Amino acid sequence: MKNKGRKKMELKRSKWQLIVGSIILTFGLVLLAIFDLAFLGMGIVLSGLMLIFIGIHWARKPKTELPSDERYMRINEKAGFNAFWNTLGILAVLTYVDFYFPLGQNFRESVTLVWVVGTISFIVHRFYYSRKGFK
Amino acid sequence: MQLKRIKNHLIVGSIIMIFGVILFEVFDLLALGIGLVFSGLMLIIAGLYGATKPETEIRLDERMRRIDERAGYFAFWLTFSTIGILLWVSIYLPGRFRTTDILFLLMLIGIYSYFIIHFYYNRRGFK
Repeated sequence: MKNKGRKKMELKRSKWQLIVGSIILTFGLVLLAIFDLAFLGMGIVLSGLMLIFIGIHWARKPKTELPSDERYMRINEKAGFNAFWNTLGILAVLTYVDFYFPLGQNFRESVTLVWVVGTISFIVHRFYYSRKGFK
Repeated sequence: MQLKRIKNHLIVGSIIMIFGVILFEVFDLLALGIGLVFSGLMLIIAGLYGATKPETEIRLDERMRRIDERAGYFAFWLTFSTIGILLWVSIYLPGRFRTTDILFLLMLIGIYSYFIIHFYYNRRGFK
C-alpha cells in the first residue's frame, strides 16, 4: 500500500552505466583535486554524472516503455552515418574557406564549430529516424 | 565491362571534373580546382572498377548498407572523441597548433577510421 503509484526502480538494468559513471566521476575528482586540472576535472565529473543520471532514468522506465534493441541500434547507426558525412563536409568546407579567405579563427573556434555541427546533425537525424522509421 | 551499370558514376564524375577544370582555369582557384578534378577522377575510376566485376561478385545491397552505416557510426564517434581531446588541448596549450593542420588532422582521422572499420566489418561481418 505504501508504494502504490510509485515507479519501481530496476537498478540491475543500468548496472554498467552506474559503474562506469562512478569510475569516470572519481577520475574527474582526482584530476580536479590532486592535479589541479580544473576544466578537465569538471568536464569529466560532469560526464560521469550524466552517465549516472541516464542510468537512473532508464532504470525508472517500465519494461514496456523500453525501445527494442535492434530498432534503437539501427536508428543510432543511421544517424551516426549521416552525422559523420555532415561533419566531414563541414571540415572540407572550413579547410577551403581557411585556405582562400583566412578568417583568423583560432583552432579552438574551428573545432568548436565542427563539434556543434556534428552534435546537432546527430540529434536531428536521430529525431527524424525515430519519428519516420528507418526503412 | 558493363558501362550501363555505372552510368551515374560516369556522368556525375565527369560533371565534377569539368567543374573543377573551370574553377582551375577560369577562376584561378588552384587548390579547389585540383581537389574537384581529383574527386571526379576518383569517382570515374571507382565506377570503372565496379564495371569490370561480374554481376555475381557484386555484394548484397542490404549487407553493404549495414556495414556502411556501422562504419560511419563508429567513425563519427572516433572523430568526435578526437574533437573532445583537441578542445581540452586548446584550453591547456593555446596557440600551439595552426587551424588548417587541425582541420586536416580531423579529416584524416575520420576518413581513415571509416575505411579501417569498413574493411573490418566487411571481413568479419556485422553480427
